[in-house]
Amino acid sequence: MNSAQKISRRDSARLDLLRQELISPVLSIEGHAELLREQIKDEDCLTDLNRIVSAAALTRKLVDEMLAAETQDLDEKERDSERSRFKHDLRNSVGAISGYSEIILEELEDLDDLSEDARTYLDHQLADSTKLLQMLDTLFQAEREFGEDSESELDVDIHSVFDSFERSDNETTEAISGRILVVDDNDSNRNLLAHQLRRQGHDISTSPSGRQALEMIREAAPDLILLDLFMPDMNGFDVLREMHKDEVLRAVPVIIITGLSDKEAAVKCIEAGAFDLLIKPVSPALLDARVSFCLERKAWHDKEQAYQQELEKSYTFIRKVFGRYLSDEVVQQILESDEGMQMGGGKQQVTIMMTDIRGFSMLSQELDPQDCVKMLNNYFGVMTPLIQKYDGVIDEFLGDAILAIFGAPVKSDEHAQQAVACALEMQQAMVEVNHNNLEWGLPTIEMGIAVNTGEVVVGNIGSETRSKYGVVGHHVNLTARIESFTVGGQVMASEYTVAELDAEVTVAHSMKVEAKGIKEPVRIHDIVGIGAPYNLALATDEQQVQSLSNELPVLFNLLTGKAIADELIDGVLVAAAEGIAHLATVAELSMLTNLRMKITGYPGSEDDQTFSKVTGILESKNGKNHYVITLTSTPFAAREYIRSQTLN
Amino acid sequence: MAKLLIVEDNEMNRDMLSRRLKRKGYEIEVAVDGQQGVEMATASMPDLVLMDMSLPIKDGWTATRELKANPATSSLKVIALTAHAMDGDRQKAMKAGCDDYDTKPIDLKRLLGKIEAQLKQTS
Repeated sequence: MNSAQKISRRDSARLDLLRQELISPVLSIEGHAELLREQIKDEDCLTDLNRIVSAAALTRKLVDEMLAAETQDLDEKERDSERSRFKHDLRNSVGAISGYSEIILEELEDLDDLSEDARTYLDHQLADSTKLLQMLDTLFQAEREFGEDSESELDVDIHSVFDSFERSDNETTEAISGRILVVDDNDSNRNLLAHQLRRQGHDISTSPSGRQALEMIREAAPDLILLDLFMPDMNGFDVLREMHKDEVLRAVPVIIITGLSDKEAAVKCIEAGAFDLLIKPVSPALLDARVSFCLERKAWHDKEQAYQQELEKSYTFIRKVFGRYLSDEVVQQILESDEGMQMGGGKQQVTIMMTDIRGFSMLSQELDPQDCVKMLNNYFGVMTPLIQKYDGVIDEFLGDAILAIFGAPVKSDEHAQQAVACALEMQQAMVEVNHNNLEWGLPTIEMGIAVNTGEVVVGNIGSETRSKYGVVGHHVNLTARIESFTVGGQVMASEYTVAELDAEVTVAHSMKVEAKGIKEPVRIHDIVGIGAPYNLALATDEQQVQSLSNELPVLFNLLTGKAIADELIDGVLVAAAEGIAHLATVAELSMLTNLRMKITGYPGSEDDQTFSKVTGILESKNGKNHYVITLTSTPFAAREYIRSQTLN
Repeated sequence: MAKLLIVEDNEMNRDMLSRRLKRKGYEIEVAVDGQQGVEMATASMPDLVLMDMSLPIKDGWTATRELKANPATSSLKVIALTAHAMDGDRQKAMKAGCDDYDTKPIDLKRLLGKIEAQLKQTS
């Protein structure tokens, strides 16, 4: 090193590193000496112990002086003589440590006062001094050839120092282990860090170049990166900035390791995303602590990330399963509740709602497809938010029908009355639906709603690619049956639902119905209002049934299930109102009987079929039974025709 | 009982070596520099001299050469002790007339072996 040359940063770092390695056994010796002090009673031995302590202090001082001398401008001869002097003095001081340790060992053995602890401490001192001597030997051996081209030489000798260091120290402490990438262009620094970290059980990879490191990180992100700041091809700061551009890499903690105690660089690194900054020489204890902390933090971060991903997956899953008909609130609730997320399937008490637009299939044939879709969208558009408002989940839109569930997947104690209240409000909303229809020149529609409560199997039903949260069970079938008994504007609730209600309800009438596959007849209630807290009532349509100016003779068949009886029965329509008519016939009809009717004189198509249901039994007149029939599925033209026959 | 002269300027080394050798049963005399070493060796005629090489006033090589050059003391066995564990040191010591050579810090067992080997030659 000539006089014009200032000591380079790297040289300085190397010397710092060397100092660190030389000093650490001395510190260990001093520590053990303090421990020994408590074990020793003999005065002479205590004197010897003090000699060990002063020899250790001298050793430290000599190491510092020797390394300071390395940075001075000296010619080769002067340097050699300096090194020779330091070597001599260091060997003496280290020799004093081992010598006095052996003396104390012998003395205490003679005094028969050698405790197990004392022996252990003395052995440690001897081992540390041996280690130190080995390091010095290696160092000075290399330095004999220390020439102008010194850099690589010193690297090599530090290598060997560290190798011997590693050989002599097989102690390993178990800590949190992780995959750590050590990036430093300086071989000795890199190897030292790698050695230190490997001893802690970490999985270490190394890179001498910032650019290469970046490639390695991109290929497989480690748990932690120890990054040198000053590297020739790409400095640590730039590596950090590149990493920060990548969303995934940003999460990998980076500890900057630099020989510079440069505050500005530190701030810049932290700003660029570094987790921490350690100044060389890095104390092994501090390094371990920081590394452990970082890895622990990373582990938590990863866990959190995984949790987030899981949550997102769940969210996407729920969205997929429930479609867009589940309110955000419900999705949130499903995600937040533990039991709510039991999507695998389970038996659960729920209230099922089924709605149907009366005569829609017929209507759909009359309307052009665009109008049909427009009409349905209008209808669903009005109903969907209402169902969500009452925490219902729309399970399915089946043509014009809606299947909704209350009380699942998010459990609720009030699913029965929520469903009933919802149904009533949906009926009220039909005004809005029809208002829109009229505005577009489309026919008005009527909806029947069935509500039933019972235990069903709820869960994900379907295949991996297309699964859907759904309900299965006989109560679902029963609901469908009840729905078939409803007429437009009605909310029919089963006795099971009514039994669950806390709120008061107004029942217009009740009846027992028998449904296929259901053993016991089920009582169903036509609900027209619900009390607090909902306070909803259907506007009872008190429209006057008007006698027809010309009674309309009809021919009808009875329908049982899907089958239409062959027998044609005579009858006469004697009165009518919007959607209903009074039928006089000699036949005995029971409540809720379905009829297929042909109106004599109806000018429309022969194919037009009018379906109606017996919804009331009137007093017999003139030897004929009189019934109220509700026109359930009647062509628009037929309705208009019946209406045109009324008196006014 | 063999009498050993330790010439060592380093107080701790002197103390350690003398105590450990005394413990082994040798009679020990000490000198703290080369000049005193030559004087004491001449005066008390020990059986063996343990001579540090880096000594003040008169270094170990010079002191050894003087002892070996003086017919009265030329038969004295001298073991050189040096902290410079290098081959050159050994040659340099032997060239100055030392009978053997050992390095510091002292490995007592090894040193004892060398001392006994020299003493055997004397007797």
